[in-house]
Amino acid sequence: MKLRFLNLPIAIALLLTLSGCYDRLDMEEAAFTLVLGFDLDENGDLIIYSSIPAFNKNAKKKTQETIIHAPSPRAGRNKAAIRAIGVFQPRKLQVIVLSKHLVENKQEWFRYLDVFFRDGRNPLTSRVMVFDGQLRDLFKYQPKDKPILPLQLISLQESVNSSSLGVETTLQELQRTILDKGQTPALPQINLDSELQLSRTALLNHEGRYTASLTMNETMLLRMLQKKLRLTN
Amino acid sequence: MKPYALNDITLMQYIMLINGMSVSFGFIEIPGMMATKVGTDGWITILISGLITMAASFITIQLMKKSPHGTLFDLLKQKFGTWAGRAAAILFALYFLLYAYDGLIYTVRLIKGRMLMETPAFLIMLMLLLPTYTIVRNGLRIVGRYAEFAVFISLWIPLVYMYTVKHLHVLYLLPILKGGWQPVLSAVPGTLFYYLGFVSSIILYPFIKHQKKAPIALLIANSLSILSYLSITLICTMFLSPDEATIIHQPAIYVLKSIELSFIEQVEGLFIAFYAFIFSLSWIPPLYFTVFCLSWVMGRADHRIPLRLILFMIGTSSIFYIPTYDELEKISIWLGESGIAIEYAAPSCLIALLWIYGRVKTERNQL
Amino acid sequence: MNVRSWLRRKPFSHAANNRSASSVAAYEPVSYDLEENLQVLRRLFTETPDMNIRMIPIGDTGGQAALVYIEGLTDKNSINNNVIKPLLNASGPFNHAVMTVGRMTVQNEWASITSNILKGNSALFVDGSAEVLTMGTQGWPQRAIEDPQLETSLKGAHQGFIESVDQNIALIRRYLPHQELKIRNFQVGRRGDTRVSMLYLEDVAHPEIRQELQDRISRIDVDVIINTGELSELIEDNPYSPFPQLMLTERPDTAASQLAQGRLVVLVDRSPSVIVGPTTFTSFFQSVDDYSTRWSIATFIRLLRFFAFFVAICLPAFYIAVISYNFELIPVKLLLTIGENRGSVPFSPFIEAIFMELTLEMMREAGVRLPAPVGQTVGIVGGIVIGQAIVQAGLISNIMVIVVAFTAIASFILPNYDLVAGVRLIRFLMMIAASFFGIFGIVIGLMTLTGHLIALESLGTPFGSPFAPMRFADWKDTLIRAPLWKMTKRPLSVHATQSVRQGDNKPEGDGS
Repeated sequence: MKLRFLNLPIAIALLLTLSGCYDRLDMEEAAFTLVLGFDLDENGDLIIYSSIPAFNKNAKKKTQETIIHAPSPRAGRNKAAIRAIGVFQPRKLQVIVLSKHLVENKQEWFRYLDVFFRDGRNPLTSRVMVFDGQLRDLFKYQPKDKPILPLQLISLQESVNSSSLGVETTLQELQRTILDKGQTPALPQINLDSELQLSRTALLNHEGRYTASLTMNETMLLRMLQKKLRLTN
Repeated sequence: MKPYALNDITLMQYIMLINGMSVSFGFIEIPGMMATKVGTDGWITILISGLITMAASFITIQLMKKSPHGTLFDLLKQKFGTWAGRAAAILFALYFLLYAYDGLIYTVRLIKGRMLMETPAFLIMLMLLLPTYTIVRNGLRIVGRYAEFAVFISLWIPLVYMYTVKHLHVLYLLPILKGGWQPVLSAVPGTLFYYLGFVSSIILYPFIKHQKKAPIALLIANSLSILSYLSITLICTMFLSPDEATIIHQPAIYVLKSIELSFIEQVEGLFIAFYAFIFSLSWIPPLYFTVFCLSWVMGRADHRIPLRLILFMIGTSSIFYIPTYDELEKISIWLGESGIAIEYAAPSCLIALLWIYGRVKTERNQL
Repeated sequence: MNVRSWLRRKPFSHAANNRSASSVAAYEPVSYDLEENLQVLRRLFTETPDMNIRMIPIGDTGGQAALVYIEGLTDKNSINNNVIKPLLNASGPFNHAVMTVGRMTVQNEWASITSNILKGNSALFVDGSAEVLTMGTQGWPQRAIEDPQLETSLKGAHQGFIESVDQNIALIRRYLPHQELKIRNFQVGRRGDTRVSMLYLEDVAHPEIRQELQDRISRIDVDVIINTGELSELIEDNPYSPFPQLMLTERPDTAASQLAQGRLVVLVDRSPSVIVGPTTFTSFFQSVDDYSTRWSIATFIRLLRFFAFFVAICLPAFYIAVISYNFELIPVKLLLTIGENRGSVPFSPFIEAIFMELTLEMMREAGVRLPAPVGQTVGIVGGIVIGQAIVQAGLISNIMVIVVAFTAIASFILPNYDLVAGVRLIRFLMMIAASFFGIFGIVIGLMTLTGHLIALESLGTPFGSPFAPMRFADWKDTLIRAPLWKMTKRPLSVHATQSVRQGDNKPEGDGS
C-alpha cells in the first residue's frame, strides 16, 4: 500500500471539517470569578456576591463586583451571566466566603456548595472562610494601596497559616470534615474593622451549623491537635 | 518452523502488555468500587483477587506450554479439529472486542466529562481512533513497543501521588477487618474484573522470545497490577473519610485535586490528559487481538482489512450512540462475567479436557 | 480509483529512453589503425572543443601515437611531464613503461575508453595496436579543506569533507588505519555515473544490514545523483516520514566514530555530505563534541537537547491549549498578567501563534539565502524591530513573542539539521491539534507521533531504539553520556558482530 502516507493527512483533513472548537474559550473573553460570597437575606434566599477581574485596559476599577439574589448558586449563576462582561467561569475560584449569618441560620447550607463538585474543571482547593458581618461591606472594601480582594484574602490566609494562628480549609477538606464523624470542621473567620483581619476560627457541627469561635491561642492548640503546627518565626 | 517468528516480542514488552491491559481504567475506578462494597478493607480484597489471578495465569501458561509454536487456536485445531479452533477464535475475537469497546467508551466518557465538555463524544472517539490505527496496523511488535513506551512514559504518576501524602490519615484504615471477612470475600468476584487481560497470553505465547521465562514474566505483570491497585486504594482510603468514599466518583482523580504546585494549579487536568497513554493500552492490544483472531479465522489474511472495518464500525456507531455511564456499568458487568468465564474458568477446563483426551488416547493406543 | 493508479509506482524502463547516436558507436571494436580510431573518436565526441588530441611520434620507426584528453579535467603538469615528455624522449619501439604515471590500465572497448576520457584520464592510441592505454592524470579544481558550515564543533577537528570521494576516504582512513576498513564501490546514475562508496569495518558491521544497503544502492535507476541528500531519499525506508532515518554528516570525525561503532558510511562523489546508517532516533541528538567535553557536562547538554526537542514541538501548542481551553492550569497571578496582555489583542491565540511562527520561518529562510554580513543585520532587525513593533501595535501579545522566541532557540539546540526540519513541521500539526482540542489534542498528537516513530525502521533496524524496543544497555550513550570507560560494548542497535570495543579503562584509585 503505497498510499500509506496519505492516511494521516486525509484523516486530519476529515477531522478538520468536522470539528468546530466546541470547548474553546479564549481567556480574555472569560470572566473568572475569583471570590464568591454567600449571604442570607430575609426571605431565606441566598445573596451571591462575586468579584471578577477586569482585563480591559480602559477599565478604571480592576475588578467588577456583582450582587445577586437567588434561591441557589446554580440559579444565581444564570443571573450573573446576564450581567458579566465575558463568559462566566467558576474555574479559577480562589476563595469562598460565607457570612456568619448564613452559617448560623441556614439549614444544611453545605448542600449549596455541592454544585462546585459537579464540574470536573472546578478547583477544589478554593479556600473557605467565614465572614463576621455583612458581606456587602467586604465586597465594597477596595483600598487603593492593596491588591484586589481575592489576592488580599489569599495572602492573608497564607500569612496566618504559616504562623499557625489560623486554620486553612479548602473545599475538599471542608467536605471531608463535615462528612467525617470523628473530626470537627473548622473554618477561618475574618472580620473587617479598618482592615481585614483573620483572628478567629469558626467551628461547625456536622450539619454545618456554626457552634463556636476559637481565639488565636486556642487555634494554635487546635492545630497542634491536627498535627499541622508550623512556626516560621 | 516458526510461522510467527517475525513478530517477536521481548519479555519486557509482554509484561507491559499484560499489565497495561489490566490496570488501565481499573486504576481510577477501583478505590470507589472497594469503598462502596467493602469499606476500608478493600485492599485485602485486592490482594486476594490478585493471588487468584496469579493462579489462573499460571494455569494459562501451563495450557500454552503444550503448543509453544502456535496460539491456542492452532492447538485446538490440532487436537480437536478446525471448527473447534475457529469457534474459539470467534469467541475470543468477540471478547476482546467487548474489552476494547469498554475501554474506549470509558475513556471517551471520562475525557468528555472532565476536560472537553462541549465537544461531541464521537469527535473524541474519532481522535482516539487515529493513533489506534497508526499503531495497530503495524503488527504485534509495534503494539508491544508501544506498550513498553507508554508504561515508561507514565512513571511520573506514582511521583505525583506522593504530593498527596500530607493529606493522608492512616487512622482511616484501622481497625482492619472491622466488618469481618464476609464483605471482603463477597467482593472478590467483582474485583476480578479489574485483573482481566492476562488471557491474551493465549495469543502472545508463541511470539515471546524467551518462552522459558514466560511464567515468571506473567507473575511479574500480575504483581505490578496488584501493586498499582494496592497503592491507589490505600491512598484513597487514607485520604477520604469512610462516608465520603462511598459518594465520590473516580476517587483517584479526586485525590489529585488536592495538589497545588507553584507552577501548575490543577494537576489532574494534565493527569487525565497524559493518562490517555495508559488508557490506550486498554483498547489498543485488545483491538490487535481481535483482528488477529479474525484474520486467523480467515486463514492468515492481512490483518489490516478487518482492522479498518472494525474501526470504521466503531467510529460510525459512535456518531449515533455512545453508552452513558450507567450503560457502561452494565457493559462492564457483562465483561466481568464473561471475563471470569473466559479467563479464569476456560483455561482450567481446557487443561482438564486435554489431559483427559491425552489419557483416552494413550489408553486407546495401549489397547 | 484514478488517484491511486496515478500514485502507484509503475514499472518503468529507463533504458528505452537512452538510445543516442554516441551510444550506438560505443559498441564498435577498437581497430589497429590509428586513423580509423581517430575518426571514431571524432564521431563520438562532436561539439567537444575542450577535447585535445596530441599526435606523438613514437621512437625512430615513424609510428604515431595519439594522446586524447579533455582540458580542464586533467592535470596539465602531469600530462606534459609524465606522459608527453618521456614519450618524446624515448627511443626504440614503444614501451609503456617509459611513462611515469602512477595509474595505467589497458582498455580495448570504446565504452570504457570514452568513459575514462570524460572522467579526466588521458587515453593513448598507438598505431598498430588495438590496445589503448588510459592513464590517471585527473586534476580538476578542488576546494581546500574547511570547517563544515552546518556542523561546527568547539573541540573537534576543524575539517570537513570536500567534493572528492578519494580525498574523503583518505580523511576517514586517517582516523581508522586498519585493514578491516573495507570499501565497496558502486556506480550510480546512467548519465552521471557517480561513484558511490560504502565503507564499513568488516568484522564489526552486521552482514545482513550491509547486504540490505548494497541491494538498495544497486537498485537505483536515475539519470544523475547530484547530492547525497538525493541518494538518501532514494534508499530510505520511509521517505514520507518527516523524520530522517539516515544521518547526513559533513565531518570526518563523526563518520569515523560511527564506523567504529559498527555503522556503515556511504560517500558520494562530488558531494561533501556522507550518509551514516543504520541510525536510531537518539543518534540525531548526539554530537561529536559530547565525547570531548567532560562527561557530566555532556550529560547535562544531552538532557537539555531532549528537553529542547519537546519544547520545540509542544510549546506553542501548549500555549494555545492553556490560553483557550485549560486555563485552570495556570496559577492565578500568571493568569491575570496574561489576561491583561491578551486583552488588547484582536486575534485568537491560534491565529497569533500561526502568524508569528510563519514570520519566524520566513526570517529563518531569509537568513539562509542572504550573505553573512547582511544576514546578521536582517536577523537583528527582524527579531528586535519586528517583534517590538508588532507588540506595540497591539497585534500580538508579549507572551506570544516570548513563546515563539523560546521555541526557536530550542530548535537551534538540536544538532542535526534534518531533525530540526522535521520538528518544524510537526510543530504546526501540534498547534492545529491544540487549537481544536486543547491539551487532549496535544496528547493525541504525541500518541500518533509515538506510534509513527516506533514503527519507523532504518535499514531494517528499529528506529525507536533504545526506547521503543527498550534496550537499557544503550542508554549509556543516549540520554546521558556515561564516562568513556563504561562504554565497553558497541550499541545494541547496530547489531555488531563483534561488540567489545574497550578493555578495562577505569581510572585507578578510589574513584571519588
